[in-house]
Amino acid sequence: MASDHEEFRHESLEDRQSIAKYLNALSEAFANGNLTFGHNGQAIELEPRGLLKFDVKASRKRGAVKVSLRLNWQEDEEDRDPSVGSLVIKTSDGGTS
Amino acid sequence: MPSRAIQENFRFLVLEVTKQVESTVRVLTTGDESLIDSVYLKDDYIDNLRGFIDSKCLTVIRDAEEGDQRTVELARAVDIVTNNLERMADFAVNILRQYKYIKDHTVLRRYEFEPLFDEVLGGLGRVSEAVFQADVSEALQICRAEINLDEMYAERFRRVMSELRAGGEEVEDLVTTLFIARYLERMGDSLLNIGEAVISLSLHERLKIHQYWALEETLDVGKGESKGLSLETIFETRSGCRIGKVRDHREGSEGNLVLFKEGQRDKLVEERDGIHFWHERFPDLAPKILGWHEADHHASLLLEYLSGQTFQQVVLGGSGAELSAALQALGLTLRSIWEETRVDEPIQPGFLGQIAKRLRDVKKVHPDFGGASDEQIGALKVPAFEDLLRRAEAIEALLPAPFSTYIHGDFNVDNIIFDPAADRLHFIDLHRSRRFDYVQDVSVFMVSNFRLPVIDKAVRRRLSAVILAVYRFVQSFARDAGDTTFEARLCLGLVRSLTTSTRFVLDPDFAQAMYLRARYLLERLLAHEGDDWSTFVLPTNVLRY
Repeated sequence: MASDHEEFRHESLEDRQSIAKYLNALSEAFANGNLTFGHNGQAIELEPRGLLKFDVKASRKRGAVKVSLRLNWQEDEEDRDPSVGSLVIKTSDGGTS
Repeated sequence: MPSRAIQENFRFLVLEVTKQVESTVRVLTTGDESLIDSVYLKDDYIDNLRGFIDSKCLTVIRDAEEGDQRTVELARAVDIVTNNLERMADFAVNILRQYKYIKDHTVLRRYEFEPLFDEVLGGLGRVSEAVFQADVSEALQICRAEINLDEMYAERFRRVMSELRAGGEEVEDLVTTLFIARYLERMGDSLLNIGEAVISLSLHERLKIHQYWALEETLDVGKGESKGLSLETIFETRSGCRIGKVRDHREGSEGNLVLFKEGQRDKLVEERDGIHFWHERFPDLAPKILGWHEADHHASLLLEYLSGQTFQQVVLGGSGAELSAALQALGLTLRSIWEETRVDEPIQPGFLGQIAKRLRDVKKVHPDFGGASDEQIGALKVPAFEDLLRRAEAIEALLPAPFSTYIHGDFNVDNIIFDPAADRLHFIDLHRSRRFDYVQDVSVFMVSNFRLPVIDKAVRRRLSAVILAVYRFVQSFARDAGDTTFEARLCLGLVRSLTTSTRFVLDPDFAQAMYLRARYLLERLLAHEGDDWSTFVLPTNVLRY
């Protein structure tokens, strides 16, 4: 069981070509459904599934430009909490739907 | 209308309070302390204005002619708003008193109070219009300022606490900063009171004298004797009907409970016809009609009082066993209605057309929703919501329901009564009952669970479980009934209910969560275009929050 609080942060200077490598790596990771962030032998392994909230912001203010991408999601409740699927309505023939 | 003197002085009061708040924000942001004394002086003038309006309102209420309830209601609302405005001016003075204790002004600036003042001023700017036009959408915006202020206050509170815990030299200034933030938060509370006063004004909260007469006449139609009645509670439905719980002592001192509904004649005719509609086939499902009285524009209806709890009460507060029992009763009831009333003729539910009719109301509450123009991100074009709707309408036209059944028509969790003693369900609020696509009731029911304003995790899980159980139950019914396009139609029905329900949801984050889900469902549906609709699967995770 992973600990309840994990964090990873990366900061660097990039240029137009080198930043594309990062964005491609993220893009592939989301397409594969497997996203690993590692540092010092520690890794956060994420498996984005279900709904991802996506927030894109771009601004330019007196030459200072900021583009931010934010993604957040809840890890699948049904995996963590079996009670979500536990309520059942019986159908009239006595079976369960 | 209250006298001109009240109106003029009221507008003055709004203006003066606004100026006080503006001066306060200037002192805080520019450090221009020369304004402080003038704010103190102005406070007396504002007190006088309030006193004047107060006494005028009381005179209006005292002298109003009988039956001129509207004027009385307006005077009461003006009085409530006046007192809250005066309180806001006091908070501005209190903020400046606190300001004088600040030793290091950089501490204060760090906490950026302008956004909070902007909220307060935004709310104040709407007050006159809201009150004199009894404008609910303006009032809702005023109420919303309180939500935003609460959030901004909470954020600053947490920051002050963590700075205090970290120690340092600034303890006094941090505490003073917190006091200032707190006064702004209380201004938000006053704005909420103002917004609520306007809302209750435009919903005619108080019982009117002619409704008592209607009640007596309705009872006369029923039994002949109208003495021995007592009104227990009264509340108003969203559609503008007023409902009273009446105890009828005529056949015993204990008395039976009956429900009295009064409102627009057309609405109540629909309600009465809806009840008759059910009585023919399912006599115990709807309440019995005990009396009916109609006049030119108004009508009143006396109904059997059904004991039990609404489904909403069961899902939010019932035990697990009660919830399970209510769900079983729901399944049995729906299945028997659908099977017994099924007619094999295609019917077009037109869910998306229902959105178009309500989109204007949605935009009044949430101006950012339902945009009409596309967005662009690099080479990607993100279509406007209205564009998605248009394209989905073409799909919808190809997907009529294969059969029709009786439907409730407004199948919200608070329109279903579960009687645990008899282990059975009753339907209420039947003015939209008709023969239609059963998926309409299913989607309305699912979203009425989803949109309950609850954040408690355990309760949210319960809501998800209910929604999922109903989905699986209906899926199995559809399979047995040979309804192959059920999932696609349910998707359209959910888009409709999620979108239109946002007009009842004030919390902007929660409303956005619903709107984005509607959008997501539309996109999933459009992505399936060209494939066989019987293979479409509804992404059920959209109904988890």
